[in-house]
Amino acid sequence: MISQAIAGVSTLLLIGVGWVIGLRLLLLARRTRGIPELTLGAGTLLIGGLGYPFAIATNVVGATRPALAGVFMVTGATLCHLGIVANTFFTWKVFRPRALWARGLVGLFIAAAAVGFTANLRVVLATASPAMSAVQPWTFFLCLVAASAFGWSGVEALAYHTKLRRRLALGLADPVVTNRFLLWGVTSLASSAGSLVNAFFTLASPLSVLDPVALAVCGSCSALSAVVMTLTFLPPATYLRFIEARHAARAATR
Amino acid sequence: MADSEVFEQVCGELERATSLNRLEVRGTVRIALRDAGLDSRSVRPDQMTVVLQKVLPAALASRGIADGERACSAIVRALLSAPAGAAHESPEDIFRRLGGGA
Repeated sequence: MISQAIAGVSTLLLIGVGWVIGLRLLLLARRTRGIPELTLGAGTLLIGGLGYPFAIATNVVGATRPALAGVFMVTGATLCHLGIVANTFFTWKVFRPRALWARGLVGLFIAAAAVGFTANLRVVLATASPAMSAVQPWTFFLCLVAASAFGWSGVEALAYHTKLRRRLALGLADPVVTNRFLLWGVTSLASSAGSLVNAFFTLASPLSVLDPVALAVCGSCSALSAVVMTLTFLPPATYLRFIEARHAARAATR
Repeated sequence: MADSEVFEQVCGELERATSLNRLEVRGTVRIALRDAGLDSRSVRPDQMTVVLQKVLPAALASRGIADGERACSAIVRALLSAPAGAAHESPEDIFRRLGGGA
């Protein structure tokens, strides 16, 4: 019961954050024409704002209207795959814009999205009421792809944060922006961990995503991700003041 | 990926101004940049200026270069008088904008 509550609240949080931050970044992209805000905004909206509601809808109508559940499932999985691709575009453009290997990695994620879409569509088209066991491998695949994409983003953000901390000591970096990399690293790694746990439980049994442990762990990761993402891209003024004051206090003691 | 223009410029100037050879200069500057959280491929002139003022003099002194500070000051003056090139958008520029600090 508690695990279900955690999962429910965290899913609602993620959907809300997906819409608010996703739309905010897309509006920013309309003004600036910047690729990073466009890709991150699209990724956040596609995964949190749209993909999750379709996943919930799949479960809600699954027992009574399996054909409709199949359509929702394919739509939700495809939206998530597209969101993951957008997220990897963001990581590439921000952290490795000139690296060929990063471009190749984005190409792999695009291929993974195409494979995921085709496989899910085939399952749904093969039968009017697809069983959970039929989509299980592709849900596992989606979780692994998500874990890899978020993991890459998290590692890049934390590595850059380490560099910025050194620059901070020389007055070459801004404390709030430096902290923002840490937050984005935590957000991404929490999402990656949640996806990995989901992948593990999906592999164990088709219905094991409803296991209380799975719900509690994935829910906690989602809640952490949603809260920290809000601090990253929609920080309250009090949080910004706290970061600046902490930096000033540390600088004074040096 | 190639080293940045400012990195090449500073290494060339230091090689002329000190008794260090090309390899020693490049290694010293690379280590100074790494200690400052920077990279020889992406360092900008404004960042290199701070490294020349705050990090490199001590690094040169530890390698037995007595007048390292003077050499660094001369390079800083040259960098400050040079026209600024087109700046590449850095990850921190992007994250500043994404968090509402555009």
